[in-house]
This record gives sequence, structure tokens and C-alpha cells, in this order.
Amino acid sequence: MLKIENLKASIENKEILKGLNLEVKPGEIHAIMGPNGTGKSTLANVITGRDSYEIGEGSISFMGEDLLEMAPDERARLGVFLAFQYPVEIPGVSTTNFMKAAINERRRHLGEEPMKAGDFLKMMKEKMKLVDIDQKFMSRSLNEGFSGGEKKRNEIFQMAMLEPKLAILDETDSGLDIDALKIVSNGVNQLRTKDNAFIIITHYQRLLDYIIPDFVHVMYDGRIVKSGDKELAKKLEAKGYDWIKEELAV
Amino acid sequence: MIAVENNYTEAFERLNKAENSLETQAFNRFQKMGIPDRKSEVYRYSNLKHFKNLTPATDGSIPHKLPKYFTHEYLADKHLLVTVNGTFAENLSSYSEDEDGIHISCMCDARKEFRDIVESHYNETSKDYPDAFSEMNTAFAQCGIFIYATKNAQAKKPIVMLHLGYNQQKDSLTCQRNLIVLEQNSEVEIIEDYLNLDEEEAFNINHFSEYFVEQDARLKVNIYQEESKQVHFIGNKFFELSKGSNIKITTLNFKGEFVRNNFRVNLNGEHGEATINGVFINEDKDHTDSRILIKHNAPHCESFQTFKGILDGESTAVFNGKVYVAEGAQKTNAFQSNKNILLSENAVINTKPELEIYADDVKCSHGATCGQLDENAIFYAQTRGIPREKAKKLIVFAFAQEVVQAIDNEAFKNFMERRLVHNLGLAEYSTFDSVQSGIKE
Repeated sequence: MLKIENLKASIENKEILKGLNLEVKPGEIHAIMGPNGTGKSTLANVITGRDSYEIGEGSISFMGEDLLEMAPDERARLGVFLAFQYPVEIPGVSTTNFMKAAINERRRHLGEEPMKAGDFLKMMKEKMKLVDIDQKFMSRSLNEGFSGGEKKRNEIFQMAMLEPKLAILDETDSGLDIDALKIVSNGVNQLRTKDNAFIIITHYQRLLDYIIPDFVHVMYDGRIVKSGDKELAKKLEAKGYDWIKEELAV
Repeated sequence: MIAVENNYTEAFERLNKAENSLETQAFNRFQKMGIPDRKSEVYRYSNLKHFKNLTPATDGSIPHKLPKYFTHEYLADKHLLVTVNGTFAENLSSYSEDEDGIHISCMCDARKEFRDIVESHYNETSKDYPDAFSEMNTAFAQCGIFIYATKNAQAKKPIVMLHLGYNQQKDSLTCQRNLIVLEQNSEVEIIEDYLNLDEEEAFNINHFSEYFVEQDARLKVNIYQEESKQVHFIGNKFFELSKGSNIKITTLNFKGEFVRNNFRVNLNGEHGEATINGVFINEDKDHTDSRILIKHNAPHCESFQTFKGILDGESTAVFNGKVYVAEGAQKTNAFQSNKNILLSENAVINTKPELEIYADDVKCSHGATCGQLDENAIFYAQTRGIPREKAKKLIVFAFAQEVVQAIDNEAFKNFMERRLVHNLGLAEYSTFDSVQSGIKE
């Protein structure tokens, strides 16, 4: 589904990603861990197409298409989704309208009619249940005045609405209390199918108690330096990252 | 100053006004003042040379035949007052002359039927406020609209003023004049809609309305001004507020080669309150100049100004909002904000929020910002599949929404939203709801 080869990316002439490789197949959950400043969020941004990054080398193919040639919205319509670490507030646009615009834009590109109001509302209600989000948030300005947990739940809600093939969760667990964490994880688990995939960027193992990854990767200095299964995450939690740095130094 | 030329003098002579008439006095003052040039602080960023060679219309005639036009269907139940080229058009209007204690007529009839009211109010607002265009207007005033709400009157329907422009003679200038008087504890809502029926032709207008809001009276004015490209519009709206009275004005301006809106509010009695909100959206070479002066002449009054500007192309705009707090106007609460988005590198905004305070126990705040669209927000929308250009429009729409959402006439608010959606090319989301609408069970 997603194949990243030898990806090098820099921002303001500073190389952040230094030859990264990653392959994600349908149905898989990949966790990416690693110390601060090793390029985890950059990876999420480059996959989803935020500009201000200079791609030096390498390729990203998604469903056989060259992602790097596409605008962020084209990538999104192809099925890539990013749950933001810091969801953006847009005063004056309700979550309802935002989602309506997003869904109808995708339908328009597929040559379909806009979704019927009744169908849209039905879908909204269904997905709201999934993340236990209150209806009143739907009509309020997008993320404006939401608590950290509410913003993150709103991200998962949007993910549920858009049904992406590949969802990247950028530190969705940070700042969440245990109840919110359970709700968010539960949402992800329910959306999981054999056809879609997740990349979960996190600092902490605890999220992975709720969302069981198939693969755990450690990022360090712009590369994936170690991959394993969920046991690797537990080892990282217990021992930190120093042992990996030592392994690398040898 | 730009000297007043023969075209004005000769036109005034045609009116045959008596030597000591209000009109002659006003014309003399206008002549003395001249048309302001850019040395004048209040017109610093707006070039008025265009007005030099115009000739004020003096016959007050209405074109016999108008092209088909539509009245915006925002309200089913209303008094509709139509003016054409500044003159009240009885045959196009539909209203009750005398309903719920509200009298409506043209100015000429009002001078006969409500002589005392007219004489004690007409032109009183411009006494302490020398302005060339209001003087010019007084000299050349055509027969405009008169609205008079008697004590305790409550207008059950809004009053819609539809100002049409059509087939104006070349280089002619229309001087429209309206008088609105609200007596004690009365309540009126006015909607003003400006429509030029010649999309391609020039249209020049000097529009002047005076509003008197007496003790505990409440006035709402919603203004919708979507001008055609070649319009030159000077609008003066002067308000006198007595004790405990309240006005709420919302003005939405789209386009226009030259649109100057000058609001002046005098808070003359305790516990008066004035709110003026506005949005202006300019493109191409449009120019909008909004000037607001709120004078707190009495203690315990409040005023609020929220203006938002959206500028694209090579358009320019001016915002000058001033709050003046007179000596002794203690416990004043005044708030003022002007935020602008520049969508193009060639668009220019000149914004100048001002405070002038002569009392020492007041709460006043003001601020202005201008910037580009938030790239973060655009990217966020794009990751949801919304194309960049559309994402921008969505954010601009949201930016303007703050003002639109504050309109408390639901029908007019929805209409404004639709016009915004239309003007921003968001029409394909025809099911676009307002922020408040949400999900209905």
C-alpha cells in the first residue's frame, strides 16, 4: 500500500530525514517510536504533503501512485489521512460544515453527486458514537475552545468520517487522560479492517496497550534504525532509547 | 481642497433656492470648504478628484422604464421602500403609510404633514460636524425617505429600503437624503439594500441619512451593499442617541470602484449603546473607505465596533475607527477591532484605530491586525481532501462569519451568508449551513 524508499527530506537546508525506508501493507498497524527531534513528525508531514520540506532523494508510492507529485488534498482524496498532533482551530467553520465540504469534495472528484443531507447526518451520528463525542461540538467552530482531549477525539471522528486507506496518527495520545485514550483507541480498533492501515507515531508504550501494533519501528536521526513487534515497544518503555544508541555506535 | 467648479454653481442656481434658505446656506458652506483633497486627514487615502467634474441632478425625475430587477427574497413580510437615483419611487414601493405608530412617506410629503418633526430634526446632525459632502447633500437633496416612529411604537415588520440606480445621466451625481426619527421607547428595524441596475455604467451618489434615536428607543440597521464595478459612492450616516437608547448597525460591502461609508454616532445621554459591525470584501481595483466616529458625550455609555476586511487583487481599503470620550463621560466602555486578510501581494489596507479620551474612569480598547491566511489552517483542510483554493475560501468565509453571525435577524443573516457563499465561489456547497445550525433531530 505504502512504500517509502531511501527518503531524504530537509527543512531550511537542515536534513531531517536521512534515507528512510518503510513499507506498509493493507491491514497492518505500524507504530513509530523514538526520541524527540528524530524526524517522526517530519515523516508524517512529508507523507501528507506539507510544503516547506525539500525532498532530496527517495520516493513515496501509495497504491502504486507517486505521492510526492501530488498536492496534499489529492493525497487525502486518494485515502491518506493525518490526525494532527496539534489540531488547527478554524473559527467560524463548524465541524459539520468542514466534514460536509471534505466529503463532497471527494465525491465531486469521483464524479458523484453531493451526499444527501439525510445520509450525511446519519453518518455523522454513527461516527460520533464511535468516539463518544457530543453533538454540540459538531455545530461549534472547528476545534475552537476544545480541550486537548476533545480536539484529539475530533481528529478520530474526522478519520472515521473520511474512511482513509492509510491513517497517520501523530502523537494522538499525548496529553490524553486514560479515559480519552481508551475512547481514541477504541475508535481506531473499530475502524480497523483488512483493507486499511495505520501508522501510529507515539512516545509512549501505553497507547500500544490498547492498539496492538503489528510492527514497532524506532526512529533515530532521520532513519528507522530498528524494527520489531510489540515486545520492542515494551523493551523501550522499560529501558529507554540509550541501548539503541549504543547498538548503533558499535 | 479642490475648488467647487461651475458645474456645481450652475446646478444650484437652477434650483432657485431663497437666499436665506437652509439649502443656500449649506451650498455656501460647501463652496467654502471645497471638495476635500488628500491633505484632509479624513480623506487621506481616498482620492475625490472624480467628484470635481460631476453635476448634481436637479430635476429629481425617475426613469420611466426600469429593467427587470429582483428584490432579494430575504423577507416575506416587510415595508418595501424603493428609491431610484435618489428619489422615492411611490409606484415601486409597497408599504403602509401609518401602521403600528410608524409613519412612512417621502421627504417632500413629510415636510407638509410632519412639518414640526422635520424642522426640528432635519440637518441637525451636521451642525457640529463640517463635512463637504453632507453640506453638498443638503444643498442638492432630492426627495428621499422619511420614517417616523411615534412614542412607544413597535414596528412589527422590518422596513426595507431598496436604493436603485439606473440610467443616470453621464457625469451626473445623485444626492439622496433620508430622515429617520424614533421617538421615546420606539423600536424599528431597517434594512438597506443598494443595487445598481446598470452593471456596466457609471453611477455616482452622495447618500446622507440622519437618524434620531430618542430616549430608550431601539434601532437596527442592516446594510447590504454589493456595488457594480463603476460606482462612486459617498455615504454619510449620522446618528444622535439619547439616554438609554440603543443602535445596532451591520454593514456588508462587496466591491465598488469607490465606496466611502462614514458613520458618526453621538451618544448624548447616559446608558446609550452603539454597535457597528462590518465586513468589506474587495477585489480587482475596488476601493472601500470605512470611517467610524463614535462620540461618548455622556457617562455610562457603551460602544462596540468590529470590522473585518478581505482584500484581493489590487484592491485597496481604508478603515478609520475613532472613539472620542468627552470630558465627564465617565464609566465609558468602548471596544474597537479591525482585522484584515490580504489575499494578494498587491492589495493594500490602511487601518487606523483611534482613541481620544478626556475622561479618567473609562475602559477603552482598540486593535487592528492585517495578515495573510493561516497556512496551517489551509494545510489542515487540504489533508481532509479540500483543494487549496477552496480551503482558502472556506477560511475567508469563516473569517467574515463573525460579523454575519452577530446579525440578529435570522432571515437577513441567512441571506448574507448566501451572498458570502456566492461571492466567494462556495456555491457548490449549496447545503452550507451556518455555524449555529448544526444537526437537527
